[in-house]
Order: sequence, then structure tokens, then C-alpha cells
Amino acid sequence: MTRKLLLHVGAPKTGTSFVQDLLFHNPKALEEQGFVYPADRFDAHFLAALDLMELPWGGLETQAVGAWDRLAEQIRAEDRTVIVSHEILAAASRPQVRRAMESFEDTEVHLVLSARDLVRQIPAEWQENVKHRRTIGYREFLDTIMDPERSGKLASWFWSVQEVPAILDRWGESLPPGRVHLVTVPPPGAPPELLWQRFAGVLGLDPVRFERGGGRANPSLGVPETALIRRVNGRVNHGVLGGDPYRALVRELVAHRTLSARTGSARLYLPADAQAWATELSERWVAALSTKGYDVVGDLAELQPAPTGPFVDPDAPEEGEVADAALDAIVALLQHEVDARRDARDRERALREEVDVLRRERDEAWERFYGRASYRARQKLVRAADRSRLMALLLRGYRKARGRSSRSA
Amino acid sequence: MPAMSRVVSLHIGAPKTGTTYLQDRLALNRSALAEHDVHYPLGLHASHFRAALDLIDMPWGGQREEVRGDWDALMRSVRRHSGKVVVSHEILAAAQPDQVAKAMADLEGSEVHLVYTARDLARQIPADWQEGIKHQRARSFAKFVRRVQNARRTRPTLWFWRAQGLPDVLSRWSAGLPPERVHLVTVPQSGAPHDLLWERYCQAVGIDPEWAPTDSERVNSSIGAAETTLLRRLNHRLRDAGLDPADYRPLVRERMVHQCLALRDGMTRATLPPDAFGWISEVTEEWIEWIEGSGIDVVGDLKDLRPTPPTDDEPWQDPDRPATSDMLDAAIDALVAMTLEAAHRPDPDEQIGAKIGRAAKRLRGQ
Amino acid sequence: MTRSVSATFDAVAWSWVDHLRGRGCTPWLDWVSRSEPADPGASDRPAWPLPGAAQLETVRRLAARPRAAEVPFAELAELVLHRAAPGRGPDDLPLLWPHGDARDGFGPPPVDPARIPHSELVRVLVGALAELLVRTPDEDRPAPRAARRRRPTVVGSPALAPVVRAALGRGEHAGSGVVVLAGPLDELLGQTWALRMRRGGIAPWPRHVERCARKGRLPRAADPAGTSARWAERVGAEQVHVVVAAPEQEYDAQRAAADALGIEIGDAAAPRRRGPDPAQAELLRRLNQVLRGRTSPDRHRAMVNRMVPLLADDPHGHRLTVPARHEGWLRDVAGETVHRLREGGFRVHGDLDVLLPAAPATAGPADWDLLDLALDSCLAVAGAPATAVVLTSGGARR
Repeated sequence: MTRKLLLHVGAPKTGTSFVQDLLFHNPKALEEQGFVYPADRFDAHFLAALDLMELPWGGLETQAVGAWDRLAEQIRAEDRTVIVSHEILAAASRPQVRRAMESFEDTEVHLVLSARDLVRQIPAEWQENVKHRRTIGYREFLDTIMDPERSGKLASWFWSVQEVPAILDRWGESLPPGRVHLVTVPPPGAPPELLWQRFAGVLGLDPVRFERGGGRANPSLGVPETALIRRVNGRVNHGVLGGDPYRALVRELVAHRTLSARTGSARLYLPADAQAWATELSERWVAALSTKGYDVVGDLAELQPAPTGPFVDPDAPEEGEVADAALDAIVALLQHEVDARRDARDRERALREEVDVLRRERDEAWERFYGRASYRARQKLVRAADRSRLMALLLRGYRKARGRSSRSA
Repeated sequence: MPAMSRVVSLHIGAPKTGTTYLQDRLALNRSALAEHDVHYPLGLHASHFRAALDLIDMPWGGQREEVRGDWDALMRSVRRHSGKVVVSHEILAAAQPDQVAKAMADLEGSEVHLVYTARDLARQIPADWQEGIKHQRARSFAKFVRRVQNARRTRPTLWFWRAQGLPDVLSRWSAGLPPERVHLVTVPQSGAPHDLLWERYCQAVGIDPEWAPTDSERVNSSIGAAETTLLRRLNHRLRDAGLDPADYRPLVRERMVHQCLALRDGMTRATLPPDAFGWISEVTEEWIEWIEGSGIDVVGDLKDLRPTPPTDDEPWQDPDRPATSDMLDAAIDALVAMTLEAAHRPDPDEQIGAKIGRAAKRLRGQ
Repeated sequence: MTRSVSATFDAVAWSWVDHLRGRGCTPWLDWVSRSEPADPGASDRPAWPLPGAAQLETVRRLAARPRAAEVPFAELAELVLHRAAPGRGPDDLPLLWPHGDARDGFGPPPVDPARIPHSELVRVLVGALAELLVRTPDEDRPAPRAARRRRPTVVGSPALAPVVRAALGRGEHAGSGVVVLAGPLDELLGQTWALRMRRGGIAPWPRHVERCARKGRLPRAADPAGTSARWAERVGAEQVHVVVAAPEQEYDAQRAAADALGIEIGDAAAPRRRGPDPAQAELLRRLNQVLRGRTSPDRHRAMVNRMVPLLADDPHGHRLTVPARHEGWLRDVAGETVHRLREGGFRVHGDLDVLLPAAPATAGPADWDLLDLALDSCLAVAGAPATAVVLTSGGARR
């Protein structure tokens, strides 16, 4: 039997985390059906992708050294069907695809790309940029990606992960078209299981035997909320706020946990000119894709933009709404700060009590054992013992604090 | 001990009349003043706030219990001094008659002088509204002004008139004092020289301004209409979120308002609506008549108490409806300030390390 | 597109690739206009797709450098052509074909390789450099450690300290003084940045300055006031000699330091300054960014050590200045530093006003043209004996 590999290369924002989460949390169901998702966390193939593509990623790349070769070795050693999935693989250039394919040797490779229409993808990409502390306006972002020159990092990255025909052309170059599977993301309003059913269909899995692992979602923001984060970026960039607190406070606490929970704000769509352009481009995609002989799961028509709600410009938002979102963010930060301060006070108190107890124990012990020794000798012993006990105490306090702060971070 | 060897100047308010500045200047020059036998007994605290709160016995965001006994402690320390002693806090103005009687009884045997600093109502009403917002209240300016206008001004129950109703405050406090020991200091209108208020105050207290050469930079800084309305809306939400007043003080009032919003450029002040000038002028004229009839010592100029009416060329801006862009700018400043506060909180690990280190030092008996 | 357009394009393109491999340096459009419209059937098309235009142009630029003759060029070209550029940016750029569009309409637009921004070619070269370094086995040479002799303590300016330390080591050391080398603070800050790049760092220059400004303190080697104060606590302020010198004044600095300590060092010329200059540091930074994802920290360090002596000279003489938004901060710090040095009771040699920073930057390292530096450095590495052996022994493909 030929060894098989199902290689899911993206695109970002098409439900990839959802699929990875299901695969990761159901090793048994996979095993029983003869599959394996070789991962020690749900997005484990991220590091392998960084290694393959030599992408720096905020320091994570240092953990990626050799990750691709290790993954390829694992694949070659398997006799089950291996599933590999990460959305940034979509961006691989031809030499990188070639290296990847060579590393699989005689494995039968099936390529899977999930795709969603541009009218949903473009706003999502801009929001993602804003949440990574960029200050580029929506119009400027649109102009950048609509410019046929595609110069610059932003446009080249956008198209490298979003241009469906080109991605399939790069990754499918050495594959028979029947082994290239294009999964379209169902339109808004479709039942959430539908996407998973389509995936499972490609992978040849029984979809009902999988349970959700309660993984993370990457929720989207409304127009005023995105505008707010963008304005905050303008104020905290350039050395005002470090990378770690930005991630913890602005992206996680404010954007993901607070602002994305706000309801009733306008959603972000495309202005008329961009909508027309995206529609025309999608038509060309669909026309080209329909001639390739790829295995389409779902319907190519789903890549055609559907009509959307009215366009609300995030570059000129309703300022009262932005201020309103800001108030929610301030409240969230205040509560976070209050909790953090209280937590620190509690920890301090606990440690203090510990010190007191230890001191009492020590005093009693010395009273018992050295009560008869001279005063000077006793002092000397107390000091010597304190130093060693002090070390233990410091270590203990440190471990405690570490444990808690890493949990609360 | 000879009688009347001690003169006590009791500065009882009003709030928002530069009292923070005056108190800070007294504090900064404490030792210099003591050389002239003038005493401002602070003890371990930064001001007489706790003692004053103890006397007037109000809840004050849960602080009432913390300050029990502080008035008596202050009185004990006043009685330890001879010469001139200054007691100053603006919330004393709100004391009830029985509380005044207790204070006077505590000062039995001293020559008591009352000092009251006063400012015109057109500035006092918006200032007091703002002060309330900074204490986690959430009333709109329009509603606040309406309440002030409609509330009883004799034997008042509304805080504003208890502290700002000039004839009422002075009548309540001056029972039994000869009028020449009651000193009314008017706060100069804006544009007056910087030191004028300090000079008038010194005259009222009976000290030489030169005895306190170190100037204070502290002011109970004010914020604009957009900032106040922002804060008012925030207070609404914080009330829903159940924020503890003990957390409100350091985080919102200190960090967000005083260290961030109060420093913004180009703020628009909250001002009274033009139609309010009619009734506040009437009130002011009643006051002036009362003052002139009472024979108390006026330091400054009674004209300072008359509100400057609005000019026609500048339309009134409703403080409850600031320009949204101003409010948004303020909101983002506040949001950034809170983010930085959360980001720069000292690392708990380091803090705890230091604490254990200190505890351990004690263990070693060093 | 028609099949014959495509076939003709392929034939011309692959013939250009052969030309480049053989150290040819004719630009693409010249090559196209010189080519006979070839017989489509005659094209000998390899199994893999045409390399990207940036890779091709990089090989052409390498071929045009004088040093190209000294390296196994075909193998180097092979390595460059079949490797994607690391990091983000446009990839797989198609060649512009003046006789009609030779593509199917998707992917990036075709380009004239001669007009590709230099920064993109540098990105390709950085990838090639990383590949060359990773493939060359580490030499296992034990670090030659000279017997340590007692030398006076010399701290401060990372550029001058090794030079001055070596110079003072030549003389007879009598006293116990400490020399703190001070200079213009923006220069010192730049040197500490370059030193970090020399040690594997990846922070861009503006971020380095930003971090210092946010923390509100200078790195030790760029903080003469703090350093002097710390030493004064140990040896007394009168034993701390603050020697003010610009970084290019090696000779003056060693003279002044020797005079300050009363050491006789003779009249020998100062050795060439060590440590990367700003443009070299920026190239190292970009290289570090790739290497840290390719190899262990230990090997990374060894590779940078191997790389530094092979770095070419920066023909543009780029200089680091502080970004405009932090100029005010640095000016304040400089004022404070001068004040603390004047009032600290140290022995100051030279004019402290030299410490004040120059005008702020108009363009930072991100905008510098590093192409010539990167081309020559790449050729230097490819021509180094150990690497050349790896290249010619068939290691061009992974």
C-alpha cells in the first residue's frame, strides 16, 4: 500500500484552526480510521512551516530549527495516512514547494486548500494587520492590494496566501489535478458542521466521530472596534508599549476578549469600487479553476462574492461609537488591573505568613536544641541556617509566583 | 498657663477655591513657619482631610470608618502648640451645627479665627459638578445645575449649598464669634497675579507671606467638558461593573484623571448655560448684602464674587454634549494611559523577591 | 497566450540562465533583443520551473563583480537560483517578455530584472549567505588565548575600547586608574547596536533606540556617566579617567588614555578599528534573522565569527544617527551625561561637548543600499577555502 499524505496548506481565515482543533483533540477517532495527525499541539505544523519558508515570526523561528525535516521524517516513517495542516504553507514559493515535495519522497501527496470569497477575506486580513499593531488605513490597505504591481511586503504576503489559482498552481505543479482538492467555505448562515463535513469528505474521515476540543476562535471585530485599535496603535507604537504587553493587553484582553464580544456594531465590508473589482477578479478565478480538473469540494460559485450589508468606512467611523468602544476597553483594563493588584497583594500576604511560620519554627527549634549554648554560638548557627533556608524560601516563592503569573498571562 | 496664648485659624473652605494650593504651600513651608511660631500640624498625613471627615461624619466612599478618632487627634496636637495654629480643610464647610459646636468646644481656651475662601458661583457650580464626577458620581451637568437651582439654600441638605452657601456656612460656623474674627477671602478673578490669593490668605490668617517662600506647584487640576462627560459615562459603566471605590481612587482619579486627562492640551471648560446667570446674580447680590450687614472682615474685593456674564460672541457649549471627536481623543488618551499602567505594573516576581528579601533580613536580625 | 509565445520565451529564458551560470552578465532585455527567435522545439527545458527574476538578477550582479572569477561560480549560481529568498516579500517573479504576456494571468506581474529594487536582491543574497554558512562545517579550532597579563581597565566605547586596551597593554602599567572612553552619544549607541548584531542580535536600529528610550537608560558601553560612577564607587572618582574621543580617533584616544595613566606606549600607529561598521552590522542583522531559524545558537555564533572577517567594505560609508522622534530624548540624556561627568569628580580628558549627538537621521539602515556590500561579502564567503570545497563537492543541491 502506498503511504499517503493529506497536506492542508491554507488559506488563512478559512476555518483552519477549527479543523486543526478537531484533528488534534480526536487522536483515537483518527487512529481507528487509519489516520494520524502528528502534532503535540493543535497548530504544531506552524514551526515546520516557518522552517520550510525561513520566516521570522516574533522569535518563534528559533524553535523551528530543523522542524520541517523532522516532520518529513515522521511522515516517511508512518504507515498510516498522515494529515499535515497549516495555513501559512499557502505562501510557500516554488523552490520551497519543491523542497517540501522532495522531502516526502514516494509518499502519495494529496493537497487540500480551503478557500473563501475575497469579500470576506480582504476585511479579515486588514483586521489581522491592525491587531498586529499596524496603523495602515483601510483605504490604503485596499489600494495596496489592488495595485497590480503588488510591490512591498504587505501586498506580496496578502496575495501569496490568498490568490487561490496561484497557490494551487505552485503546490499542484508536480501533482495530478485529481490529487488537488479545493474546499470552498460555505456562505455565511450555513451550518457550522458543513465545513467540517467537506473537510472530512476530502480526508476520507467519518465526520460525526469527532468532538470539538474547545479550541480558540479568532473572532472578528466590528468597524468602530477596529478603528479604535488602529488609533491605539498609533499611540503606543515606536517604543511606548513593548511587544509582550501589547499582545497580552491590546490584542488579547482588549481586542479578543472585550471588543469582539460587543454586538450591534457595523461589520466590515468592501466599498463599491473594491467590491466590483473583487467580483470581477473572482469570476476570473472561477473560470480558470474550472478548467484545471481539480477536485472541488463544495461549489466554485461560493468563491463569488455574495451581496453584503452596507459599507461603513472604518477610516471615518462614527466617533461616538469608537468612544463607546473605548469606554468598554477602559473598563476591561481597569478590572484587569484591579484583579492583578489584588492578586499580587494576596500572594504577598501568603508569602509573608509563610515567612512568619518558618521563623517561629526556627526559633522554637533553636530553643530546644541550642538553648544551653552561649549567645554568640547560637547567633552564628542561626545565621548559617538562615542562609540555606533562605535559599529554599526564595526558590519556593519564585516558583509560586512564576506558576501563577504564567497561568494568569 | 496664661489664657489665650494660642490663636487657631480655622480655614473651613469652600471647596474648589484654591485650597489645595494653599494647604500645600503651608505644608511645604512648615518648618519656616514654625520659626515664626506658626504651626500647621500634619502628623503622618498629607492634609487635614481625615480629621475633617471624622468631624463631619460622612460616608465618603467607605472611608468614614478609617478616620475614626482623627479629629480628636488633630485637636490634641493643636492644643500642644502655642502661638498660631492653622487648621485647614474645605470639607469642614459642610459641618452640621452640633459638629461645629464640638469643634468649638475642642478649641475652648484658644482664640479662634474663621477663614473662608469664596469664589463666584459661575465658576463654583461647574467645578463642583466636576468634582462630583471625579468621585464616581454620574449626574449630567444639566441635572446638576437644576438641582442646585431648586435646592433649599437655608439649612441646606444639598452638599453644594452646605459647602458653598456663603451666608449659611458662615452663620453655622460663627455662632459666638465676634464678626472681626470671621475672615472672608475672595478668590481673584482669572488673570490676577499668581501670588494674590496667597497674600490675601496670609492677611486673613495674620502671617507675613514672606514666611512661606517655597511656592507650591500643586493644584487640584481641572479637566474640560469632554473629559468630564467621558468620565461620567465611564462611571456609569464602572458602577455596573461593581468597581470598588478603594480601587477607583488610585486608578481612575489619580492615574487616569490627574495624571492623564488633566494634562491634555486645549480643553474646553464647562460653563453655566446663559440662562442661569439671572438667578446666580440674584443669589450673589443677596450674599453681598448679607456680608456687608454682618460686619465680618473681608479680605479682597466683593466684586470678585460677582459672576462674569457670558459674552455674545462666544456661543455656549453644552458640557453634556461635547464634540464627539474631543471625547474620543480623550477616551483614547485614557485607554492608552490605562494600558501603560497595566503594562508597567512592577513585575510581581521582582516585588515578591524583594519582600522575601526584607523578611529574610529581619530573620537574620540585621 | 499562445503555445509558441510560451515556447519561445522558455527557450530564450533558459539560454539566459545558461549565460548567467557561465558568469555572463548581459541584462535580460539586452539578451532578449540579441536572441534569435529560437525554434520552439529546440528548447531543452529542465524539469523544474524557471528561477525567479530576483534570483536570476542576483546571479548576474554577482557575475559582474571582479571577485566572481575567484569562486566556483557555476555552483554558487546554482545555489542562488534554486533557493527562495527568506522572509516576506515578492517571490517567484516572472521575467518581463516584451513580445506578449507569457503567463496565465495569476501570480505577481512580470518584471524587468534590472529594475528590481536592490533590497530584494539583498534579500536573495542574505538567503544564499545563510545557506553557504550553514553548509560549511565548523572549523574546530580551539580559541587561541594569549596568556592574560595585567592590563589597565578600559571600558566604554565598543569601537575604541579594544584598540586602546591593546595599546596600553604594550606599555608598562604603573597606576590603578580606569579609563572610560566617551564619545558622541549617538555614535556610542550605534556602536552598541553594531556590537549586538555582531553577537547575533536582530533588533533593527530604530527599535534599539526605542528600547533605550522606553527604559530611559543607555546601554552600559554607551553610558559614560553611569559607568564612571560605578567605577568611582570601587576605585574612587579621582582614579576614573574619562577620555573623550570620536570613534575614528583611535590614535588620539590611545595617546590620551596612556598620558592619563602615565603609561609609556611608544609611538606606534593605532591598529585598524575592529567590529562591524553600520552597514555591515545591518547586513549581519538580516543574516542573523535567517540563521537563528536555521541553526543552534552555538553554531550561529560560530558562523557569525566566520562571517565577520569576510564582510566587504561598505562603499557608501553609511552612518547611524538617531531617528528624529528620539532626538529630543537623546539630547536630554546627553545634557545630563555631560553634567554628571563634569560634576562627578572624575578626571576628564577632552571636550565633553563632543558627547552631544549630531543631527537626526533622514534615512535609517532599512533604506540603505547594501547591494554591493552583500554581493562582495557573498563572493568572499563562497571563495573561502572551506566553503568552496563544499560547493564544488556537489553540495549545491540539498
